[in-house]
Amino acid sequence: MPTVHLPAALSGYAAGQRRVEVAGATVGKVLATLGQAHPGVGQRVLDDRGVLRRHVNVYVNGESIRYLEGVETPVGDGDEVWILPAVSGG
Amino acid sequence: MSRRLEGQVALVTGGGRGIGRAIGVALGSAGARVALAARSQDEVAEAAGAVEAEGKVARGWTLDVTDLGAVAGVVEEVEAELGPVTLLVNNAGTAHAPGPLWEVDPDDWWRDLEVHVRGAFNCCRAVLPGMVERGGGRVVNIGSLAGARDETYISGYACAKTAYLRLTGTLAAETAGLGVTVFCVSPGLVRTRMVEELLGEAGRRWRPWIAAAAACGSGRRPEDNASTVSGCRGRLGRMSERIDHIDVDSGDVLVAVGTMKGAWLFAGDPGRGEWRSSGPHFRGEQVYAIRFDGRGGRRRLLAGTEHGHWGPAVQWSDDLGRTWSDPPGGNVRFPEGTDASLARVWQLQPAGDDRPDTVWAGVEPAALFRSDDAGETFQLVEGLWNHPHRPRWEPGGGGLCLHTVLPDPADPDRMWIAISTGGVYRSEDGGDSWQPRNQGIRAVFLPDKYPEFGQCVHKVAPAGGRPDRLYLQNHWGLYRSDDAGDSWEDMANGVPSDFGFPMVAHPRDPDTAWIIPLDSDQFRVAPDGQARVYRTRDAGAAWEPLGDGLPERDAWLTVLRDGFASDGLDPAGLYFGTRTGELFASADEGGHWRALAEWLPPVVCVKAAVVR
Repeated sequence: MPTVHLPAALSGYAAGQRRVEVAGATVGKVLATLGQAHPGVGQRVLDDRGVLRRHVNVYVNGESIRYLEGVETPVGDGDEVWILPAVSGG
Repeated sequence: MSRRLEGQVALVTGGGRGIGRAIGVALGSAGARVALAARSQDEVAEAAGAVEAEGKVARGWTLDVTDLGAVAGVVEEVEAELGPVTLLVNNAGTAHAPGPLWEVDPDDWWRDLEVHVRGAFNCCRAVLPGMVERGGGRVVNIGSLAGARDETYISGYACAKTAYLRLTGTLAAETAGLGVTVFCVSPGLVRTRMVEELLGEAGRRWRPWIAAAAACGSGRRPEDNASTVSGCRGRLGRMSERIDHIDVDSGDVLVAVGTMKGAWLFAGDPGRGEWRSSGPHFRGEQVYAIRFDGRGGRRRLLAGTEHGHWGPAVQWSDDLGRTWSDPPGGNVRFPEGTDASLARVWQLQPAGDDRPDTVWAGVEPAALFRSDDAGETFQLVEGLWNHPHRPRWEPGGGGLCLHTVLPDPADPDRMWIAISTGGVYRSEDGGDSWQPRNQGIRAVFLPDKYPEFGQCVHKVAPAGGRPDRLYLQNHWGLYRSDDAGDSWEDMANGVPSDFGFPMVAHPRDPDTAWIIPLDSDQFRVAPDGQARVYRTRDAGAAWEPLGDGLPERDAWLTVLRDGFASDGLDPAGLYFGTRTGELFASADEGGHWRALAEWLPPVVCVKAAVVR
């Protein structure tokens, strides 16, 4: 399963974990599963439609999914998924 | 009888007369045990007697604050008799050397500096170790306008008061996190013995305007400042540690202030003379909606918060801001199939007392949500979401927002909403169906200036005591409706501009309302840089400017649609916050104003309520 790294600001909504293993074949599916397991994280990363929030960035193995295939980017065992607040937002 | 300072021990220097004596009386009546220290045995005994005459505890000590050993000895005696000093007021001061620096007596000049600076140093040295050890305490330094600007012919005094500003700031920084708060209060011209002394020969020669001011009755009374000092708990909290919580007594006024970077709470006594504050709450988040809801036996604060990265939510607190609930997964969510996502909560509006658990939320994109559990969970009001007009509502400058929700207090099934841009809609069936109610309201930005809907309504306020009357501030235009919104009549009579955002109606008098005009849509600031509220007392036939206590010039203030509120008391208290971070208050329906706060982040929401 891919490992998702949470920013400190969100770890409190995942029982204090900074890293969680989440099943899913694409980034979108990983984030959806993550949101179901930890609704406080899900609400903050995805909007009401399930779309990644504008000021949240996701990286797979160090590369932004904006330059990969977005939420359709495939992930698998050993992949590292990072959720990070963007350099913006307030 | 106030008991806010019960259990506190206050040491007030220069406590024999003038401001110090008045501070002692105020602290005593707020419940503190008061130690008054001054050079004159007779005066300090008389002052202590004045506090005791109110049934309070006070003792007087003879003290020269410039004597370190004497200060230590008095503090030891005070603590033995009254308990550890929790509040120090450095008030002792002299102004013995009026005149040009090159002419004044050098000893007098240095004496002014020494009484202030050495005195404050000595007193702080004596009380701070105990305060730090106990993790709590307050120091209030009595400053002066002479410390903030170039007052001539009183340079020793001015240097001393300038030192107080820096002493306050550095001491606050040094004690940050140790539980000690440090304040500086600048009273302005107060009629005291010290001022009388300045009216002596040298003073009359070099500072004649003091005599002139005194002669025409100008200047504040010592008591006027005393309440400021006794209220120095949270106010000016920015100078010292962050304060998370304020205690509120039944009958107090609670003013909730939402800003672009967090929220602040201000609590005032029923007379609205003394204020204290807490904040920031929700550090860094935009708080476009925050208010108190006292229905159903609750004491609940509701806040629509918006994190720059993590999105919006409605949070609530049942302990006046000490803790906030924030349900995981969010509580205001557009259901699947709407293809919409919550961008911002613009308005949180409790329903009438007959439905104590119902709360309405107006949001962006323009939609109405309803909660039947006092704001903990919300459901989309489908009747409005499915309105055939909705696809033709357009975002205004602030986004496509439903910013006003007005339940009819007399009819639980009737309510109004306002959308920018969409206009006013009314429901007669509890929100199932909605009719546009914009006849007579102008839309300057559309080819048809008087359309059925699509107006950029900025705020609507229901008149007190007359259920069918509404007041409306439009994007250009001031209107009144006497038929529940069926038709609107222009009432922009004698205002500098009919552009503006907020509208506040009197809680009881249906003919009285207040606005804060802005120059224009292109220049959204106070006309001519003059901060003024306008009031009508005849339902809009005429408007009068109210500016006493507000900045008269060079004040390019902007007040947004929810930045202005009334507390509903008699006389009605008014509060408005600006995009430049000031919070102004009036306890007399706009007759006089004072600043409750400056340098807040841009204020977007001000709501006031009486806490029961």
